[in-house]
Amino acid sequence: MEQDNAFLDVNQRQFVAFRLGKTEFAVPIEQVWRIVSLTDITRVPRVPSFIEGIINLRGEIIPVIDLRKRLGLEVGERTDESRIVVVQTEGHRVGMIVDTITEIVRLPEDTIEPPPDMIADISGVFLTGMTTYNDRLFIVLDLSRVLTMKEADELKRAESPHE
Amino acid sequence: MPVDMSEFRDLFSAEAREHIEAMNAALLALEQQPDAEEALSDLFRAAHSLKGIAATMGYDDLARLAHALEDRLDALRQGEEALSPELADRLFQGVDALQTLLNDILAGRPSQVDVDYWNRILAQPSPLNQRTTEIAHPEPKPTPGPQSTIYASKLPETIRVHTRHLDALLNIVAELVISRSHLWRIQEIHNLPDLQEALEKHDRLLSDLRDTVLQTRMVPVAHIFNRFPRMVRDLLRERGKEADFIIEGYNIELDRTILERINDPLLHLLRNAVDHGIESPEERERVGKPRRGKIWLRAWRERDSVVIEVADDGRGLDKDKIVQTAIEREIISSVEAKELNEHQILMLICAPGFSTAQEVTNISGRGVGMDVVKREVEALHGNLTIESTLGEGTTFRLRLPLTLAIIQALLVRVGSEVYAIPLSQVEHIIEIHDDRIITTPQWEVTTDEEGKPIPLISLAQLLNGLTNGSVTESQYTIIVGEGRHRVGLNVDELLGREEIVIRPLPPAFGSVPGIAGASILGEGQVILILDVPNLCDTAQPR
Repeated sequence: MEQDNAFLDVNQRQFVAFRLGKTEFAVPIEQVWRIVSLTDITRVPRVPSFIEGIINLRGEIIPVIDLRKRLGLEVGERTDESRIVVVQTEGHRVGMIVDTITEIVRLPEDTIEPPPDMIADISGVFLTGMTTYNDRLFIVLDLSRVLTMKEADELKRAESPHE
Repeated sequence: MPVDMSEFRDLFSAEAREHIEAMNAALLALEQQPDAEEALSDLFRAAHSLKGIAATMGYDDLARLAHALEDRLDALRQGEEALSPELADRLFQGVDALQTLLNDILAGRPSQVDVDYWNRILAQPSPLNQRTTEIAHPEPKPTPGPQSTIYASKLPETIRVHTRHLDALLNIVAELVISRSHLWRIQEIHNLPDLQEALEKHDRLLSDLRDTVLQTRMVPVAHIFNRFPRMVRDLLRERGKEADFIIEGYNIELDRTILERINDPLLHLLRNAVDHGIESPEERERVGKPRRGKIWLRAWRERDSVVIEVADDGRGLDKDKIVQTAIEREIISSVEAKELNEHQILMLICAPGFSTAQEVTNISGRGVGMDVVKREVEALHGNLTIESTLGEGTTFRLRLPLTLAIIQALLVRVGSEVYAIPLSQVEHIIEIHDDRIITTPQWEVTTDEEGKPIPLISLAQLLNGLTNGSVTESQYTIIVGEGRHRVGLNVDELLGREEIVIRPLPPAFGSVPGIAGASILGEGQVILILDVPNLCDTAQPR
């Protein structure tokens, strides 16, 4: 019932919520193009390890990243619940592997707060903000950051000083 | 502003460039044949039209400069004066100034071009003694060769279509090709006569559609060939050399992406022809050649490829010297040198590290060496050959596919992945016999039918950036590369040959060394297309 009332609130935005481990994340629904189950992913050699490869989605070749690796979380298991969330920003489409989709939620925009400094320092480059809603904590992702692979290249280079 | 000017700007830019190109072409024709009336009126018309559209767009400086040129040309047209070499130079410079100004305007930056200065320069009368010196030293007029007929060719009836639309169209065709294989699979299961008939018709229509779409991407080589006469002329002048530049095959068509990418390689080959091929007039006389050399740029169609040739009748390549240099620069060993045939020796000039900085002149020195030329041609799934006779000249021949979109490829399996290797990069496939394998500490080596040793590399290792010897137990090996880079690639399975549609990797990847793109097979599976020369180049022995 609460949800219905929320529909009328202009301050609310719809998000796709998903889980990586115990943490719940959210991305704005208008940035999500498709959600598909795990299919065969073609590996691409010589690219950063968080890039899983490419898939064919309705005739389009789309890169897929392992979001856990991208965010520096520990590697998780792929299950029947694993999904590829294909998001688009600035014309680019990228699939992100997530553990499970939880739901489509409406979050009041004005309750989204910038991440605390401590978290922002760790992997904060990807985080737009955080919010609690119905006692659940959501981390809102900054997709434009998640999807830049250039930066990732630099990260990779920094990891392997002999290159 | 109520109207969207940006769209007009694009149109303006395309049209203005065409006018400037036309002016260059007409000036060149006029220089060869000062009395060519048609060229003169075309020149005048181009200047006039440029002035008009510049004024419409509010680019007053550009309009004034075009006007100054037009004024001077009008005097020529009225027969008030003749075109002297000096005036031709001034007009060329005027056109250059126009070009620079146009570029600055389009880039939205303030221009350094001083229009008042150019107005004065262009209005200056020619020196009075011009005509008498002309008569005192009558230069043999070059016979009106192919240039004059080329010049007469007008632009075909065309409409402008953004290449984005053409790419989208091609993608849809690729989709259809894939869905066709899907339909055929269904037919194999159900075997319905009606469906069979419909599918066969569908097949024919689809291949017509594909050919037509590919055709729309084709543009005549004239689009880039037209840029070269001016460059060659200027360079010859600068070097104090004399040569006729002969272009043939303007109307041959190529995929626009290929055409765009061979511009720089051709530019480099032409510069080489002027810098290193054609001798000075004195030297030519000394060896009994005509003072004026010849440089050819030819294009023609050969079955499913287009051949482009850059040739000169200059001094030719000295094979002994090439071998010597290659040994000095440790490209080959003196032992290897003895085994090379003529073609292999000439190809040494394309080896990375062959040319040195000392040979780089201010124009040739754009960082494009012969190695880059060869690499670029191969990246386009084409190949480069060189022929040369000492004292008689050199010919560089580029063989290019008509289109980049669809290629013949060899499908191979490595582990659970399938890869495509462009057939143009495969020399041949040989069967491996255990008794012909020699194991060295680093490599396993087999021999080809001529008994030449071929190191074996596993493609799996190569993809990981290593060139460790192969340990896979493959029955066949794929021979790729040339000279020192000639290796056998071991794969787990050869799946056969197939026509595949090349798709670029998603932009997020940037360029991945050794990967030319991706393709979707009939079953919907995505596979990677390898660029073997680059893959080998970027690998490190460990």
